[in-house]
Amino acid sequence: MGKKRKLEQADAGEAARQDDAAAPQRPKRTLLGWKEGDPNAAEEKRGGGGGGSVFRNKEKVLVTCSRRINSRYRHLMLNVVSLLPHCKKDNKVESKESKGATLNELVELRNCSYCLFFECRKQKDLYLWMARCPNGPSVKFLVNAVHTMEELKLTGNHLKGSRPILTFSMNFNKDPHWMLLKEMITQIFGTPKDHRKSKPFYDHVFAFSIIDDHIWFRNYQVVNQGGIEETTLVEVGPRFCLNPIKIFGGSFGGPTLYENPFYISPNQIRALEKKKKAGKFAKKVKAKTRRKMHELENPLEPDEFADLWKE
Amino acid sequence: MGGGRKVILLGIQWTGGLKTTRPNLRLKPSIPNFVSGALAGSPLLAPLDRPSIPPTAPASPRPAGASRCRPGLWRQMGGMQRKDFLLAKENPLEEADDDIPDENDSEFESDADSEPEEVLLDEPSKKAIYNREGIIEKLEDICWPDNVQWVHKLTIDHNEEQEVDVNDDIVRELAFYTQALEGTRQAFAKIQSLGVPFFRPPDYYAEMVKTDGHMLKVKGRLLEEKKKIEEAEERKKAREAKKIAKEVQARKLKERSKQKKEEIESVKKWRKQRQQNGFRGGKDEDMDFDFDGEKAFEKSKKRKQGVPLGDRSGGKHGFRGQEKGKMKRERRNSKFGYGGRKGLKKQNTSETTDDFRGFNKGDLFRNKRRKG
Repeated sequence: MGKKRKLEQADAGEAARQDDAAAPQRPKRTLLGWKEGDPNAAEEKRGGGGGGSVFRNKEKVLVTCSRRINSRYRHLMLNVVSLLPHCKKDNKVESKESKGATLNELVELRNCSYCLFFECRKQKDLYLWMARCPNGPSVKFLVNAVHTMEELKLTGNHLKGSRPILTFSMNFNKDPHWMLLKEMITQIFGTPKDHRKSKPFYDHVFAFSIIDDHIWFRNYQVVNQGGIEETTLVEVGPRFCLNPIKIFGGSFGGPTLYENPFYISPNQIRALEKKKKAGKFAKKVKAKTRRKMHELENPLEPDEFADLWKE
Repeated sequence: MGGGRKVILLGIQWTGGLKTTRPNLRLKPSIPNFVSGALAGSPLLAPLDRPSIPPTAPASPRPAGASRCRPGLWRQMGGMQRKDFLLAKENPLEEADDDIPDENDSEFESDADSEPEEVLLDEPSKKAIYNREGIIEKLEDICWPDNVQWVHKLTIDHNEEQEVDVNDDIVRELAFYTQALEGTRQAFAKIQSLGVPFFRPPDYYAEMVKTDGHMLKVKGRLLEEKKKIEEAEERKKAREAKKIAKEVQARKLKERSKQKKEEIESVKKWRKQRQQNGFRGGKDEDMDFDFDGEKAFEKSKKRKQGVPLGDRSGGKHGFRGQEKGKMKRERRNSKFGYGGRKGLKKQNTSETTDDFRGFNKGDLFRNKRRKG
């Protein structure tokens, strides 16, 4: 804090001096050297509110999860937190409450525009909500194939807070709902330019690609080996696969805009599986009775030689 | 409506060693079914040309690997379909990865006959909502303005050449990798054109996503793996060397026996030659004797040192025995003494004179007896 004030004072002093002398502006000293004289950009930024034509990314993401979340999924959430310098992490939220407006309130309270809510059910199914908060759309995903960053097979590493390059496969532009998802992902996962926690270099790439109607996420480190042509990628993690279930008009609710026609909830699948297993015995019994009926219907003809030796 | 249905298994099995879960299972209505549903005319139809089991296979639900790391289970459940995929793809690598035998295939195939789940499967496609206008409206709502510079977004679209089979881990991961790599290259060009540094300088240290401790673990694991591989190779090499050694030994034995044979042969030859030369009859024995003597002489010349002249076995037989005897003697000498004047040893010293241990035993007994 003290330092900051000092800098400001110095600036003020310098400005005063400059006013006096009416000298050409000196470039500002930064940690890395002299800042490039780009007064236009600075002006743009400052005038962002008034002009309207100039854009500044101010998205903030609230990341939270439900109670009784699995450790693996919790770690996934923490990984996501570490990847998003512009996010705020909140306490666990009671899962039932998510139906209501609690989450919306929470997001508003924390001044965020997006929310990532990791909802764990039955200790095994992870649902991810991406919601634009005051009144934007929200999407519910089923999360599959989760691997966290902690796994030792994923050997990459990158700067914390460096801005990721977001790559999307072409089929994100195919359908309106994919386009919507792409926009949301871009706004959530893209680190705002000049965010105070971000770092000025680019050393990791996110890959979002749709295969078989699932969104697959990968995070790679860009390894500098002299030039861009020799660059290789090493996976950092986490990895997961998102299966969109529904898109709602409001945040955490509202009219349904899209429904995945192929989606079957894991509960249903498990139930079917159970039923199938239960059917085994019933089938056996059925077969037995059928056999009995068959035997009754077609009795054996009395053998003509049956009492041949009994005389 | 209740026409043929397709079961699509979205299986993944990560080849890099991570066993991924089956993300989900898909039960999908056939195309006509789908078109007649709410989504008629939707471009969603496009990706339906992915691998699916032949329509003869009955629809059966499979467990989604809701929890991870259960490749065995899904393989049991979906082994048949998966095999079909494999046959279609003919990917040996994938097959090599298949370490768990699909022993339960037949059982589950037969089990698939029961179809209580049909009603459930139909429902999703019927009810599915697709509000295109609403979605587009929302998209326009949340969209950043059109004139946003690329630097803010950092998005790259990657056009993949062909449809990727989800079940083929290598192909799938490769697709992700190429997408990311292409994206990086494009982004690099764009960022370079903006005049912003892309790579971090080597002397720029900052907090990383993974801690140093974690990276140490990663490194340790890598090293361990490397060591394992090396060890395995070494073992392999040793095995081969052993095999070779065996061969060498066999060759040596063969050679030795051959040499022996040759020697015998040469001796025989020599004898024959001598006979032919005509030293026969009475002088024959003399010659033999002479020869023997000569031979003996030669041998005596070769005789090893340390073998006494009297040793009749030529130092072969007796050498060991003598050694043994020598050892015994030495031990005895060390025990009882050897050489020197005996008289000095036999004289009493002050200690021996004070030592009464050897005396009086008999006296004590006698005294006791007397008292008793």
